[in-house]
Amino acid sequence: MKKLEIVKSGVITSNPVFRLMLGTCPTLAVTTAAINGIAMGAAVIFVLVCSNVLVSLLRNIIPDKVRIPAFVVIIATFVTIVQMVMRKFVPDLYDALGIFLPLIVVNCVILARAEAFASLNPVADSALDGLSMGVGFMISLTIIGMVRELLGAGSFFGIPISGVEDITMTVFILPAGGFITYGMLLALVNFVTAKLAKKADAKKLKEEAQ
Amino acid sequence: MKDILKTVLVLSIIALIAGGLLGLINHFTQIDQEAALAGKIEKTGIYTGSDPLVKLALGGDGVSQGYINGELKNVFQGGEQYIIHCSGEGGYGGNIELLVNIENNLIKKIAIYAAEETPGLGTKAYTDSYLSQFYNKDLIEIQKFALTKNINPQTKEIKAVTGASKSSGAVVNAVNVAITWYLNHTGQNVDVIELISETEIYDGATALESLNYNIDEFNEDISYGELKGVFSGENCNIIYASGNGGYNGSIEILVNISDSQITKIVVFNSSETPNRTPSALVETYYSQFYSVDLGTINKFVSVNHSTLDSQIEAVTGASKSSTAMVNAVNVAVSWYLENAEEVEQ
Repeated sequence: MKKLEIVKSGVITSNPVFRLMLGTCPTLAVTTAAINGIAMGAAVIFVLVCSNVLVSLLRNIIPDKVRIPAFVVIIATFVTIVQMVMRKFVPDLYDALGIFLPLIVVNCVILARAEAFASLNPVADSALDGLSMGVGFMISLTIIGMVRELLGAGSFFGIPISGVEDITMTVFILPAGGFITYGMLLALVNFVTAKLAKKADAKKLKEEAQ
Repeated sequence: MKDILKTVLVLSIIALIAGGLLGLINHFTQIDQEAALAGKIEKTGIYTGSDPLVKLALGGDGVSQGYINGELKNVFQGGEQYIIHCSGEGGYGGNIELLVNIENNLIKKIAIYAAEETPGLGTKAYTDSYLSQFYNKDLIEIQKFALTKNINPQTKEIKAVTGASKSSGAVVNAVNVAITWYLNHTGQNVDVIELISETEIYDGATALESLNYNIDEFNEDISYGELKGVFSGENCNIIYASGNGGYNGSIEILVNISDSQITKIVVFNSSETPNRTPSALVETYYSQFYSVDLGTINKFVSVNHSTLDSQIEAVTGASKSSTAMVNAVNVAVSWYLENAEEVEQ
């Protein structure tokens, strides 16, 4: 696969949150504030890149029968490293992410990419895939977090917005609101994608006719 | 065979390398608990004195009243100021840890040490507008704060943050732990008997006397609550007990047992949601315990529909509070049945 295609796939066309619908649990739980989205995204990028690289390096050594346990050990190790480093250097963010940091181990995005891409492709491509998927994950989480924080708590990245603060709807920072926001944004993404696909089809037909 | 050996070997090597790597990183990212605590104290600016802070050794303070719904973690002293590191149970995201600055019987400042409440909602309990309700009130008069939802709270009451009563309650629990320690340490805690006498539990002529009884041994056998004190009065026994399992922690009650029957119950301390209906902390609920011959039952049971004397109908919508109340009463009943022959009737 060409490098650009890999990047585009991770961030847009196969976005893990809005198209692959993976890792929904941490997505909904962590996005009560926009900054949490960025922190979680950063942790996931690190784990994704490292695990993809390592799995790709070992793809010819790990026997097929035990590939899942091997992937999980590798992923768990990197997540634990991220946990230890975050706890030491950014304890506030570490507290904000709480239980969802260790839960990255079972985040479907990471295991899915290890299984579907890294175990079948060379190291450079796998690293790039990990990076682009992670960035896509981070952007998606941050967008959901911004919407929920603005509508639910009247603030933007922790800064209270004077007008909005009075008309907040608390439901948005509760689990139900997470689902609502996710659903709405998903509908928006599907609408835009469908429109773009229609345009691309029309353009293709036009070109073929000529 | 060769297959199995290869898989085992590969997995073992991966696990070994992973373990080694983790050990190495752990070594470099160790958190020194003492340093973390000292750093947080400095960062929050909770201590405003000039003398160096000295960590006090805890335990053996002769605490007459235990800590309810919270824990004492550390205490530092600098001059007249005490910085108390304590935690309170019942927060929405778990326990809330605070640093409380008490000087000359007044709380001067509170800082959040560790908490995981919902951002934008429970975190409103970290704000100055909520915490300032605790400041500069005479702790000897207050003894303990209570949570309320009334718009005009009394001095002893703290108005909860709207929509964040669990978070607010956990902060109150933690502050009460700090106050309890401070009053005990400075010898200013009001004797439990005096506090009990101020309630309606006992109306006899003679003064209440504490019974010489091994409470710790009794508590070793029960897990659903705790016996806190046993007192004898005119023709009755007053039992001070707590029951686990409430919505926001344990509930402490006073039980008046006379002639083998419970004649009165008073809720002594609780962190349950205040001003709430329905509630299990009202006499319409706990009068169910009254006038039952304790010799005929083993213990009370919380049920939805009662057909026997020993069955107490739980309050719909307050099942956790009901459970805690039943647990607390059972502690008292359990003590009574064990010691019925020895008590003065």
